[in-house]
Amino acid sequence: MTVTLQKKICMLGGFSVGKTSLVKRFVESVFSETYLTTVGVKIDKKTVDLSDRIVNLILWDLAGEDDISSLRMSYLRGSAGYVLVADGTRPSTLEVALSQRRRVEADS
Amino acid sequence: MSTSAAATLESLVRPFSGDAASDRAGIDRQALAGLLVQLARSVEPQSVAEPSGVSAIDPRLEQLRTLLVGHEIEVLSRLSEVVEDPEQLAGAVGRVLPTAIALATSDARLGQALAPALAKATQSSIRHDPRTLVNILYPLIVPAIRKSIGETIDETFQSLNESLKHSLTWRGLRWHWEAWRTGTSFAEVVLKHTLVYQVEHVFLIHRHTGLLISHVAAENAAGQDPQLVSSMLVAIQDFVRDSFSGAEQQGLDTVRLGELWLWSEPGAFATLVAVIRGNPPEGLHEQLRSVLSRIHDERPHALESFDGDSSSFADVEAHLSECAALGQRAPRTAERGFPWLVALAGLILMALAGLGGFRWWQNERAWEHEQELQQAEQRIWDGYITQLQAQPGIVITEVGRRDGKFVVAGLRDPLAADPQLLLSQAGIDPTGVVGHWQPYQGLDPVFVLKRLQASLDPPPTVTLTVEGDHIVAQGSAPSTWIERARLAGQMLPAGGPSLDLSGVRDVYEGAIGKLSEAIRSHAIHFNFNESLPAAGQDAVLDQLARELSDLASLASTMGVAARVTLTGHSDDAGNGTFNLSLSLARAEAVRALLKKRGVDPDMLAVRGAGPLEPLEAASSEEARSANRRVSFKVGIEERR
Repeated sequence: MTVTLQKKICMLGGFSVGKTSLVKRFVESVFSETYLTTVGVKIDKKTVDLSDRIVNLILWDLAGEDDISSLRMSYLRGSAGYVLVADGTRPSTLEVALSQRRRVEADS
Repeated sequence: MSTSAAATLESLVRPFSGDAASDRAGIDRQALAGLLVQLARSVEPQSVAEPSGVSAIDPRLEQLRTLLVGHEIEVLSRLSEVVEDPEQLAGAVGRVLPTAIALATSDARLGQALAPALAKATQSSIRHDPRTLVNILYPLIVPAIRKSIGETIDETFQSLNESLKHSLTWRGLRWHWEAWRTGTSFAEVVLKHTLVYQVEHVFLIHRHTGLLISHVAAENAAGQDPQLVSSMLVAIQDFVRDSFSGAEQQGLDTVRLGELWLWSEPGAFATLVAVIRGNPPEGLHEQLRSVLSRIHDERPHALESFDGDSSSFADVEAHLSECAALGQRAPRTAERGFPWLVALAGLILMALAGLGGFRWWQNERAWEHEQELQQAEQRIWDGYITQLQAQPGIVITEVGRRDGKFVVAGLRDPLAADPQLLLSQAGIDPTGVVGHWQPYQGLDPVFVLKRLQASLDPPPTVTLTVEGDHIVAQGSAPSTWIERARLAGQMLPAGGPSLDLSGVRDVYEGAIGKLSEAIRSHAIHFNFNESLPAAGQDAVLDQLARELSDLASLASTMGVAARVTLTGHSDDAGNGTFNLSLSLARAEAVRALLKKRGVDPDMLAVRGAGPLEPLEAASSEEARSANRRVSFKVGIEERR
């Protein structure tokens, strides 16, 4: 019997760094992207079939804001991991990503 | 140091036991000496010293002890002090207790060991000051109570609203009947029929991670991926909680989208979300909470430590299926045969519509009929007015309609036609007409003729006719009538017709005159002092009677009255009074004799003249015999 797991993964990063595009490469979205501008998060699922188990990654694509304080920390509650996304052509986005990482670790 | 040596040292620092070989500090000097001898032998096997030879007060031993275990003795002393002083011991334990408990949390024995003491402590605390527990539970209980009361009130209002909404409808009457028949309350029956709902999805979501623990959907219920939906629900919950201050400890418990409801029941570790289609009763909250509570009771640790592996929660689906089976469908009416009620209602409606149409048609017809009647009335009225205008002696000054009645006013000669009579002849209801007539005398010859006929009362032998502007009288009449008619003709107003009497002659000029003269020529004679006629007078009486009868008949024919006066006479011999009585008796006797002969006595008048009206004035016997008589005088009068 194959074990099925769920894991919550949050996509973090500054504004317009490509988090949603990154998710789109792997999953077919169910919900509209307008959720990002309304609720501030859009959730997708990516199923990864490992050899002995199936893992459903619940991807929380958080609306990117360059302002660190605007990050809704409640969305990260219970996450198994997070993906920091930055735009290699914009060094400032890396700073944002690092700042977000520091804030996440401080709150964890 | 060997194990036995350590044990020996441990025995050295044991508390003072009160043996003779021990000092006040609790040191067994004998044993210490023995130990030192053993140490010396291990260094120098040839040593032959005996421990028993050591003096109990040898200061070297004390120095040696200080060198060897002085620090430990000091530490042990402090420890002993701490242990023996309850306050210090409590402080020491208090400093390490939180850490110890934290480290031992995973050990179930800690909870088991603490439970009785905590229970007693709690009971004691409550007994001592119940407010403490109240203060502890207040933040938890008050929202729960508030929510419960709110749901109860909602449920009550829901029931009340539905009951009121349907209580006075036809359906409500049927439900009243059903409630009476089944012995249930009306509110229950109303809710059973109106609160139709179906639980379509039930999600059990881990509160901390937002991951889906289990999900059950009803048959034919559509929906997105349950894992995504549950995560999104959690995200929305978080979004609402973050967006509005004051709701940090609460959640979004109700969401409505059209006829779709999302009811969320939070538990300690998991949240139960039900997606309901329809109109759910408030009591459903309690059912959902009950299921969630059972799940928590059965799997508290598994729920708390859930890490995304839901394989161990297969049995939870049974509970969720119980929720998904909840619902209330609209009660099926009994086998629907022909919809008699609908047909009956339709027939009634058609009948009402037909009746309404018929009434409308009737009203239209009545209106048309009324119009026709009014037009006919108007035509009749116009005809009546035309007839009135043509009538002599009537002058119309006003015609109209007021307060639903015809009005006519003007001048009317009393001899003119009666307008009321004309109304009846025209077929007009007199009660619908108001007439105002002022009297006047018209000069129309016809009315002048009428007035003359009324005032003169001409005998039948006279006729009055209108000829142009004249009124012409023709025939025969007594002279008195002729004289009266002449005076009336002179009184006629100027400008009007005149009266022409030239065609009327005096009745004396005809047969009546001749008969009168014949009657006047007769006389009935009497013997002296006798009141009865003398012999030989019967023939005269017979002749006289015939002539009087002819006169009466002729006068009646001519419309006049003939009156004959019988005058008795006497001679001049004798007493005057006697003669007057005798003369009257003679006239009475003649009238009686004439009556016997068929003459109407009413036309006969009697009088006594005595000797005052002699036929001959001489005093001879012949003259006296001639004067003893009854004479006759004829008068022709108008009939009264």
